Amino acid sequence: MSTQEKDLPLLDQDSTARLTDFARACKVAARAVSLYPPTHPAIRLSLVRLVDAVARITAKGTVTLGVVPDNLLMGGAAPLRPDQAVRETAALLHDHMIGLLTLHSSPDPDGWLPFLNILAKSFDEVRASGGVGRLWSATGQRHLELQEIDYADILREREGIAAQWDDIIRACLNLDSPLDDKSLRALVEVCGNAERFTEFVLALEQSGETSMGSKASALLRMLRGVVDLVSRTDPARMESVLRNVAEGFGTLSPDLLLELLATDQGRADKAADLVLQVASRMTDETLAGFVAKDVIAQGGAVTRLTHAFQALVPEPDRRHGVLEMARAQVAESPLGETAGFVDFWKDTANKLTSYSDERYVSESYARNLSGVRTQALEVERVTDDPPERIGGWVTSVGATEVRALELRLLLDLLTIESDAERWQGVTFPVVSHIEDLLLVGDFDGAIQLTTILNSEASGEGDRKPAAVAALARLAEGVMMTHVVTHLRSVDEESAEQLRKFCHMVGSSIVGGLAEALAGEKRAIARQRFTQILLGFGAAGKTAVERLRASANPAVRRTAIYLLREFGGSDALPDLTTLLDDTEPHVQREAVRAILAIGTEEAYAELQRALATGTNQTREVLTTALVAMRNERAIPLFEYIVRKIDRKGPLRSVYLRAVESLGALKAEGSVGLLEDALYSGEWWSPFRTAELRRAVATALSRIGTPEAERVLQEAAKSGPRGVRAAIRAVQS
Amino acid sequence: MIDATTRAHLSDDLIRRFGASLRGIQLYSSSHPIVARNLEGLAEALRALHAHEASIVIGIVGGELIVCDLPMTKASASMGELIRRFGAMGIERITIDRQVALDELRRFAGRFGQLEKKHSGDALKEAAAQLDSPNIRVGRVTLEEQVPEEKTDASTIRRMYSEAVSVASLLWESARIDSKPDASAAQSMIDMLAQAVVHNRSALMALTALKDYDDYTFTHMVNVSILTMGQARGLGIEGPLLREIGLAALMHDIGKVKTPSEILNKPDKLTAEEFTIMKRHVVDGAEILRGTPEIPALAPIVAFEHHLRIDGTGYPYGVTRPHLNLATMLCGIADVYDAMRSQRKYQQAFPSERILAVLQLNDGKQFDQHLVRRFVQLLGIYPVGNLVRLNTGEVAIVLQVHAADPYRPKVRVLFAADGIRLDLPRDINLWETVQDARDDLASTVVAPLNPAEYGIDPLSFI
Repeated sequence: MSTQEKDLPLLDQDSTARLTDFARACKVAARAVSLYPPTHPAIRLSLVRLVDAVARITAKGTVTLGVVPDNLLMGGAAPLRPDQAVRETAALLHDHMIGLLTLHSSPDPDGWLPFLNILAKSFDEVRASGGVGRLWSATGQRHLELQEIDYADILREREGIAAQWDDIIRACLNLDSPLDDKSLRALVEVCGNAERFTEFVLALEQSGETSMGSKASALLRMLRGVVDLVSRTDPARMESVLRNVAEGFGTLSPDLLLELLATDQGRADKAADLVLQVASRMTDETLAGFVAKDVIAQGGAVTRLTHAFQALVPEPDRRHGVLEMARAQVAESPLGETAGFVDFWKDTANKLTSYSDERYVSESYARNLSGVRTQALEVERVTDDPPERIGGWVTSVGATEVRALELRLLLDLLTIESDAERWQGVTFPVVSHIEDLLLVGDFDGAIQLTTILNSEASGEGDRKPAAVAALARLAEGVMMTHVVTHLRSVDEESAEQLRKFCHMVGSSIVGGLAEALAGEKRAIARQRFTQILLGFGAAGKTAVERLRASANPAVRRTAIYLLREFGGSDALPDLTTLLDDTEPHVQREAVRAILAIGTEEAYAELQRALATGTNQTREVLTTALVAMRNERAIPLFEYIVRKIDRKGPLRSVYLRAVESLGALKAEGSVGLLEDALYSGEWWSPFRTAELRRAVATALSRIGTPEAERVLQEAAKSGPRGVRAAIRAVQS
Repeated sequence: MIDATTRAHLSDDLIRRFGASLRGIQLYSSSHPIVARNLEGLAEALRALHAHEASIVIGIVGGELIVCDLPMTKASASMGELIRRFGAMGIERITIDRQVALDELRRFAGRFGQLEKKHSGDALKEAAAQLDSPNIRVGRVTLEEQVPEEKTDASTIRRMYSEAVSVASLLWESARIDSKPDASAAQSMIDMLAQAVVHNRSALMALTALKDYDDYTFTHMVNVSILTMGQARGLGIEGPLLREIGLAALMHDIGKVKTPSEILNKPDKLTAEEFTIMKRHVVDGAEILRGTPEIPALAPIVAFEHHLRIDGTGYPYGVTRPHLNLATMLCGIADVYDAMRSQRKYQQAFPSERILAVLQLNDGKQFDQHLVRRFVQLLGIYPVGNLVRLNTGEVAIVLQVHAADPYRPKVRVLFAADGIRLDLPRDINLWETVQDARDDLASTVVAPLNPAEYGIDPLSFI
């Protein structure tokens, strides 16, 4: 916390967090706007963040932030903890003369751009444009109110209180804006009191970010204004004012004093005379204090002190006296207690009196220390690298670029590593990286790496075993999970990349794909899985063979599904064995698959299963068949009607087949049913009657003219049993 | 009512989409199409679950992910990285309301990635509060108020440097024996050095001049790391990226653990065959680092590329890069500089001009001359802390580098030309004396010296 806010109330944790958040967002956004071109995405991002931060800080209503040079105050309270971002944002706002900032609400991000553009301008630019208040008013924005710092106001407010020297100094530094009378009167009061003027001088010396020349100009300007005012309003007071100022001069550093004297040189106006007038009023005590202070601080006489001393005390005789007084003061300091002080002082006095551009040009040890600490900043200050160049460098280690380099590195390692054992070592991170690339959907990268593994696995070189093992590890890992997830949602182009990738990994992923396929509900995903599996050709079927033998019924069902998808009569033997499966679900799937094949041979296999299976098998198959009442099943039902022995245990199957043909309105089956209608055994009248009724019912449901014709003809001229069946149906 | 199987399926899908989205934002810029695609996938997965639940709570309990009270054991196994990242942020649960839109998810993911890039440790946990948005609430482990860190003083920095060299030797040994350097030890050390680079860069960089010549391998690791971080910091890089660059530089030569010691320590010039073996260290280094979990991606890249030059020269042969990345370039400069200025049993330190000449080799086409200039400005030809002989024969310690003229630093004269130590050392700004054309004053540094031979500790002057 700055010294100024020592006694201020503190914000609570939550308010501090919101204020800090705003400060960070504001700082980042201001930086982005000043660094990047208007269309750069960083600006958009930072604006969004700023809007969020403003929304949070104004969640309970309008908020006014007080801006002091190194802190932001909310409702007059300071943040709980010091924060760099708060300090920097405060400095940025303060540098633009913003004293109060009132946030009304969170506008859209673009609403903040005008404000940030103002902050991106230099103070000089802002001042040249009429000040921050005027610039902001011109934007017409209302979500933000700013109050510009008015130093005259500040001086008035702080009259009688310890002045805020940095603000006064800033006012003095603002050379384009004349100091008004009230400000000057306040400064006269300062100069009327030696102690306060000394404070002012110290504050001026310590104010950062300003060159020595600017400080000297500010001091000179202030003095000129004060002297002019006093000479106009209270000339009798002039002498005491000048003496006070002269006393204050004793606290200046040699650098600033020399700068004042240098400013004085070459000028013929009153200002030149003014510095000399003040200097001439520096007493011996003041001069001795000036020397002693600097010798103690620097550990000796440095060039600048010597220059200043000689300029201030040109008379050799007077120098001796002043130095004697200075020696007494230094002797009382810790330096005076060191061994060899007598020699030391002799050397120092010698330098101060006889120096003429010779040996020793140095700064203080203390300044060395601070110089070392700020050295890096100085380097940054002198560099002429434009933001674009620096941005380019930093971007080269951005996330996307590093990602690309990581891929490039692995590709290079796979290519240039000549030792087979070490190459095997490389495959481990490669496999992990492929998995990672798949997770995020970077299929290009995954394909590039897998291509190399695939190529080595297909070759006969000494890398082959490692490549094969790597692909196997890949297939066994989380890769398939990622592939499956993506296949459900990606576009066709990406799906094609995944298909390519899967085929490069090899047939070991068929099982995983088949598993995924078995549980998949989305048609598009099933289609993609199937396409990939089909692309494996014979290898895919081999995998199906394994699945078919699985103890897990669900996996066996998957096998059937694949056999269906692979299609063709080749799958029939495998499907046939599954007709005898112990699991009804599996049997039903097998029936569906055989139906999908749709050849006579396929139907014959179904019939065989029906004929030779257990009662349970028969029941399951029949149920499955009936359940599949669609036109594709008609040939099978016809086959059953044509081929099955309706007298035996398959009678119920026969009846269901007839019923199904009726239900499916199988127009093409009328001839077959007509034959069935007239079939029968005289020794089994009840069974024959039941079968004929079923056939008559089916014909009636078909209802086509041909079916009607068959029924009418049978009713009119058929055998007795047939007529009875027709009547029973028609009634 | 949603059945358990469907719910598990949707939850599993959500976790994977979440993992992919946050991994994507970690690996790619937020505007990358992959990021957009993953976020759309996440939004879709959320919509599917939101059809049944107004708010979805993702919790992290003992290394498991819980979605609406349903443990996602299967997903957790493959989402270890996601759980680790949540843990690093102190996140215990994330609640996502039905009203969440794609934009809000995008902002959340973007902010998540930004926070990870900018913060680490407790600062990251604290910063995680910024993840909250109207429809995404993050439950976090609350932190005790942090005490501001004290600025590091010279003795702390000296101790830190010494510890860093010790850790470097441990890293070297673990890499040599297990082919896996101790990543956590390296991370801790880099955290420490990076903090010092931020707070007191010059003093730390000055320390790199004070190496113990017997431990060249380890001091070189630490020095290159410090010098690289120093340069990176000068470019405004901070936070995790600064540490990643520092770690990469620390490990740049780790592949040499596989180089036969008779070649590594050979005092004479290497034969062509030996040089070929020596050059393998870049490949070995990349392989070692790429195979070590928890080592950031930049490290193997820098280890692999640090002998590549921007004009396409260097090695490994056959490897080309259209542009070298910043970390590689900074590390390359620091590596050459530190290797040449180091005095070893079989090699005297090169004069600074010679080092600069190497950095400007081939008309400055091997190294980015803008970076070389910045490096020279940052460090000076004679860095702070260097003990040097002046053209007058006096011996002085470099106190401050003048960026505008890195050849003429500010020095403190400690020994007169006749070798007698001065009772009252004096300071000279060499750039001032040369401007004044004073022949009787020291104006140039002639050579760097070994402080140990003069029995002084340069750090005590900084």
